[in-house]
Amino acid sequence: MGILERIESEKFIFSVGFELTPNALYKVLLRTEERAELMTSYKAGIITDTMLRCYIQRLLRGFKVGQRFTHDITLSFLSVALEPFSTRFADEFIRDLSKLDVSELSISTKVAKLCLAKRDLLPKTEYRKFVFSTTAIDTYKEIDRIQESVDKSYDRKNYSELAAA
Amino acid sequence: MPKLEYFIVSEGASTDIFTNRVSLFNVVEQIKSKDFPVVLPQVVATTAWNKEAADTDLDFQASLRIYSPGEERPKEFPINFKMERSRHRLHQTIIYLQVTQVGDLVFEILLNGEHVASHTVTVEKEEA
Amino acid sequence: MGEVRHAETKLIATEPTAKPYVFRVGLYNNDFCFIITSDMLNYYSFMFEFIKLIGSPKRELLLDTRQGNPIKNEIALPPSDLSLEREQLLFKRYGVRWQVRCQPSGIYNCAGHVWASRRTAIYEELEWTKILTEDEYRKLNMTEIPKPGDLALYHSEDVGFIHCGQVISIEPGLTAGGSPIPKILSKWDDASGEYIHFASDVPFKDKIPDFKLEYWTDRR
Repeated sequence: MGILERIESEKFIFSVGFELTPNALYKVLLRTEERAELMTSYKAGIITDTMLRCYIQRLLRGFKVGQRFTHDITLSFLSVALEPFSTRFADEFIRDLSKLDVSELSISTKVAKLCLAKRDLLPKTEYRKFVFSTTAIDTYKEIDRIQESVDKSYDRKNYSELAAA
Repeated sequence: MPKLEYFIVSEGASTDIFTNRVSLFNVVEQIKSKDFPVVLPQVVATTAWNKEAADTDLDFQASLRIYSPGEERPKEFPINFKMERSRHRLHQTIIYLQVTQVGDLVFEILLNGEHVASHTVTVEKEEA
Repeated sequence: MGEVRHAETKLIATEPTAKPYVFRVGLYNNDFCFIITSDMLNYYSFMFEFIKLIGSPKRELLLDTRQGNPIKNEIALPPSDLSLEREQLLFKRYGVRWQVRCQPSGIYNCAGHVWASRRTAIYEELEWTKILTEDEYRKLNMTEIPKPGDLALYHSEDVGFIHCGQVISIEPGLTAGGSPIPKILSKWDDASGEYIHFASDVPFKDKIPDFKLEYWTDRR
């Protein structure tokens, strides 16, 4: 059974303590093996943002107005697992979940708030790219070659973020 | 107002999205060239700002001003940011930075229009 | 995606396949409702958007400490079928020696039972600390025997506060001259029932084995 299936299972939810307060649940989730496993898989790219997005959307389909959300503990777990990562997805998931003010997601919203408070201690990084001078582009015959060497030498992941910016 | 922790100009910079650690590659202190004008394919000005108590959710503008030797006017590259967290880092990447003659290439950081720090790179002619 | 109550009047989705995110419906009365296309599920930046719109707002009571400072609280929803199943499993696994005082219910949690007369739930650890301080509770020392009405506070160094219950009786010790044994009345969470149990007979002992128990009182 994959990690995403396991964190949804009643066996897992029972083992972490669905009866705990949000603060206690947060601390218990921090030290689960499943958290370490999901973090490793996420870092290695085995579990991607797209996969998590689809997974969460599938869970949310079970949302019923006026009823406790079935996967409240699972969402709590995901917040705790994604807490250390500076990815855009992790940021939006935890932030958006923490901002919800609905009765149906009582526990996960509080756990997300605890995660957010922890994340706010981490530095945030922003990128901007500027072109200094267009005349340099016009006068230099080897601009294409320079562009290519920049692309190759620069960190790929970082560059795509810059390009997006 | 946020306090500047550090300001460094380098050829490259990277933040690991998993560990959130910053790495800077080849700090630029000196440029030597046989011919001029010389074009730097890329420089990155990295600044790190520490939040003060009153800064929460306020907007700030950090401007990178570049004084190129021989140029009358500096070029300015602003970036707006919000102090959401205790520390905020900015990587301002300048591509195709053209230097036309020897002298001091000065990178200046301003916060909301006020000078905060500068970084000077000496530009020299390389002997054949 | 969720249930939405609506009138029996005819619904018209004026833009059923609009992107990225539109819900407009034709209305024949004052009720409003949403038609959510499957396309909308693809936009993760709106992951919780529909929950924001249709979720039940949290309900809170005016609750203050003795010093007049507000205590954050929240009235919990009734237990769902799944909550009841989980409760049954919990009882089956840990509750052999528990006495049931009442069946599972929402509204309040352990702290709400102890400090808000079962009217609401108090979730946050900071609020528990605030109440203990501002309502002038003191910790019983090792030689003091708790009395009915005192608090049993479970915590651990790593986790912080775990649970609080109310001492309801003191049973005689197992041996002559042995320490009396307090019995605690607890509601485990905001969906469970209330149970009378011995102090160490708690369902979180597997998850947090290093828990400690302290007795607190507001008695002078």
